[in-house]
Amino acid sequence: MTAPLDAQLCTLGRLDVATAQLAPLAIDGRRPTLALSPDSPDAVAAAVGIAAEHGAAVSPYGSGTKVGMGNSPQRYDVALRLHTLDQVLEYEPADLTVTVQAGIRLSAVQRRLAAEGQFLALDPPHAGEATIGGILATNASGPSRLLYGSARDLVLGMRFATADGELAKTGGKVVKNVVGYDLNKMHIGALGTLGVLVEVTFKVAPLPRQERTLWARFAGLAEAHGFSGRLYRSQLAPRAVELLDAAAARQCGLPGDDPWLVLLHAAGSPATVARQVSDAAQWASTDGATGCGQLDGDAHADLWTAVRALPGTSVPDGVRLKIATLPTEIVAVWEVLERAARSADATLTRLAHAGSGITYGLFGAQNGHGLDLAAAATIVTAAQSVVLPSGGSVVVESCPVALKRHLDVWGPTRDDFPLMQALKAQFDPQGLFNPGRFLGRL
Amino acid sequence: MAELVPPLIAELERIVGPANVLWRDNELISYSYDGSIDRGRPNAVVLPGSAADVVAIVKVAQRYDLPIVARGAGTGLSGGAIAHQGIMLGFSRMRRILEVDTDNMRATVEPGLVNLDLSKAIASRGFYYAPDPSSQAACTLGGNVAENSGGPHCLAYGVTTNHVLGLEVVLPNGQVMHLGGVSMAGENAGYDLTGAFVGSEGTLGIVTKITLRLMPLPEAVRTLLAIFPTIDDASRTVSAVIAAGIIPAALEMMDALTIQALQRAGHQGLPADAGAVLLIELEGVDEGMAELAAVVEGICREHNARDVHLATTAEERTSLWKARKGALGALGQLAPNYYLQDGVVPRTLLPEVLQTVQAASEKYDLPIANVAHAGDGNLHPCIVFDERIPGQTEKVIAAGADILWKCVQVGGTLSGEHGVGLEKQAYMSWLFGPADFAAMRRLKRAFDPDGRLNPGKVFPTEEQMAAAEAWVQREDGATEAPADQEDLARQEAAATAALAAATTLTAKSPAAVPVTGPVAAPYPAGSTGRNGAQNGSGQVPNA
Repeated sequence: MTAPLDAQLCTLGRLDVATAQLAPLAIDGRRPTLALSPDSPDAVAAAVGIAAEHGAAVSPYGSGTKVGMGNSPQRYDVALRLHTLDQVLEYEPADLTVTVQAGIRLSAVQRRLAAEGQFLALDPPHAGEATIGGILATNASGPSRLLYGSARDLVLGMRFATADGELAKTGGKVVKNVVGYDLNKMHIGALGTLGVLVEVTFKVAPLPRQERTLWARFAGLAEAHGFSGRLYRSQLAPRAVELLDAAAARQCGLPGDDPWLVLLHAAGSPATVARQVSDAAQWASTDGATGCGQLDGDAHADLWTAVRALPGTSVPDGVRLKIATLPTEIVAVWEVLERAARSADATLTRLAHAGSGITYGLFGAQNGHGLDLAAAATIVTAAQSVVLPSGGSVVVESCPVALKRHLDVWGPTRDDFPLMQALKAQFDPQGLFNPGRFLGRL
Repeated sequence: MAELVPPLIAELERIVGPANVLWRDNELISYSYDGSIDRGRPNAVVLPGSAADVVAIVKVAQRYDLPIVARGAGTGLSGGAIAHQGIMLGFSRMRRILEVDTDNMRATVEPGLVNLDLSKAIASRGFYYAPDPSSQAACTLGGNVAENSGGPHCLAYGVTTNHVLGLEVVLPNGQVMHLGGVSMAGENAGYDLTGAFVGSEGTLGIVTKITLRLMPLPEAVRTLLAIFPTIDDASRTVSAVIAAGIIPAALEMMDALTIQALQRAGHQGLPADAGAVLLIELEGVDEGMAELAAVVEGICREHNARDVHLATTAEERTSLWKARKGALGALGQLAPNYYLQDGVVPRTLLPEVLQTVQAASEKYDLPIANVAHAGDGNLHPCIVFDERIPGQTEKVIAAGADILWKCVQVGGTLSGEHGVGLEKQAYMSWLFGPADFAAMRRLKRAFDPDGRLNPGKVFPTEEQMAAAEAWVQREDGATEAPADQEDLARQEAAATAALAAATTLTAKSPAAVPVTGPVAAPYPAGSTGRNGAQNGSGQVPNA
């Protein structure tokens, strides 16, 4: 007869069992049975192994900034809290690589790198609190992905706890590596359903010597979108090109008098930045902008802090969608979102990483009482109807918990789903990692 | 091995027609090797014309319980496209560009399309495909996907996996699946199977369609040739450039032996008396380019560069790249055989690791030429030798193992872009333990539960792991007990013999590659064009 789960786990780190401590860790209203903060990566692996012996379901937990993502858990026994694994393990600035533990906050990594004039080119929402593990598990990204790519382009290697309680590694610590399968990509965006990340090596980048914003206002969405396309397809290689509606502009502290706004994040040497901004300003005027201006210094920094944060804005009892399409389809998608908001009597805020084809749509209730379920469902269906036929995806990042009973927040599965099932069965045969929360209830 | 069964051939011929099934001895010769050192023959080579053909062929293979090996142009350097039995799929007929969508900066192609042909086809529209293996005039994009190929300009723009948005693949059970999304890689709902697939060396599925990211051609290009008295000065310069926060588009190194080989092959553009040269390419907008070039030149001169030359014409630039991309072919001029390595080390440790390469050269009395994607820390030591001299092959293996072990010891890896294939399996256990291999096997089983695809590649056998382990033990023994020299020599010989038995280094005679051959213009006249040296032969080493 094996010892009870809690007795076995308590040797591995701090164990919480009191309701008061477990309540904040709830996922969609469901509390874990217990919460363990393992002392070390080895303890994480041991805990996973012990949980597996007990058939206990495990959910890795970072700062909880994206805990509402995914379907509701079918089971939630152990919250594996990784916030104590918060060390920078190796950092050689001249190699432009850094190895950190998964529980460290991105903001802490950035502080460390900034001291050497470098940064990790990930700028997802919740920049202050989000942990590396959580960012990777949700494949969170931000405007800078246009120039630098997303997590999959920046991760060089990982260590992770496997379902049988071991630590495995993939990739390495150098910037180029084709030895063995690239399991990094498999874990990124997997919502912790294939293993528990404990350590990650990234490539980092030198901080740009100068940065500046060019903004341009447009009366028509098509004109604004056309201008954004001219920027991201150009040889200027801007760091980011964002498309905002008036509500998003206001939320980012910009005047929302014209309905559509395009933001260019220029970065590089002073000469490069000057060229990016001057070309963009000239194109804005020929493309019919009704206003155009520049920001630098604190105003520039504050604006981009707001732009990065916007897709993570909480919409209590509202709906937040992340939509991936071809960049040229953004206008059609935005028009459908607008019609859906009108028919659901919802407020709407839209922002797009225009060159990457990623749109965020935030829907709230006009009266502040939350969207009713039917309205929320209408919005999701409308978005799917325009996005899915051409192969795009609609992920419901946030919605009333009750809605999750009626839909898969990741959308429908596709012809590759049998492979995903096979992958899940291989890496988590008992179905203990975040059961039910991923696509197709994996 | 079973006798070739005629019904198999008949079945295959019914799918693709007799002209597209090769099975007679003389027909198989040109499919019996790739750019590496191993040899092997499949039962038949089938040239599918469509994904439907691939599905049908795969189902035949399933019925006959035969392995399947996919092959592009055969330029691979690790034996990935070598088949010892079964059905080889040759993709020379599937080389269409299916769609070019410059508005969304992507193209969809068939796997047999030659890498450079894509860039050529879209250059007039102002775009190109960034990853540029040295064999880009011959290698196929399907092969690039399988190997996650790199190239000089991957320093700034990333390797193949950073440019693949989606794939159509045929699984070994004949199912066709579409991996990836439409916007950016990794943005499909569910797992990033595209990312897991790229670089899987033909062991997970057969690619029948690839959607790739395109990039706008840069407005301005500056190509610098920096000439150094020693390779040490050159490699310290590499670290200094990166440490200064400058990531050039490409930062390549060639040493004295390579330069000599290039001269023998007819390339006169490089100084005969240099210890090493760096080829540095900067790309971007015009503004700031002159300033950046001046900063880079300054760093070179601070590190003893005796000259820094800026290519002023497109011809000059092309000539420099022709030398770089033809370097490996030229090394074939020095001796009948070569063994090319592909280790990667942290960039700051380049000088130290290059000293190990030099030490290995001296210890085993073998010339080793160094070409490197130095900015990435990706070395290409090339051991030149003559397999006809008794004992040389063993010495090459020993020298190679010394170098790879050093790469691993300093936190690097065995291969940056060539793949593991048959050639580096033995050393895998230097990097990975049982739990790591177990995780990789899980991925393999999800895609290919019967192990039908490219069997015997990537994963080491027990014997190979034991031999690699014994090699390391020998090293330890040498440092701990230096007293008994004879005993050490015996140990060394035994470990080397075991390693030789466990690796596949049966020597290769490289095709002589005329580096002065025709030059393809990847970009139209008058564009800012850059590299794109084309070698005349179909067998273009891809270092």
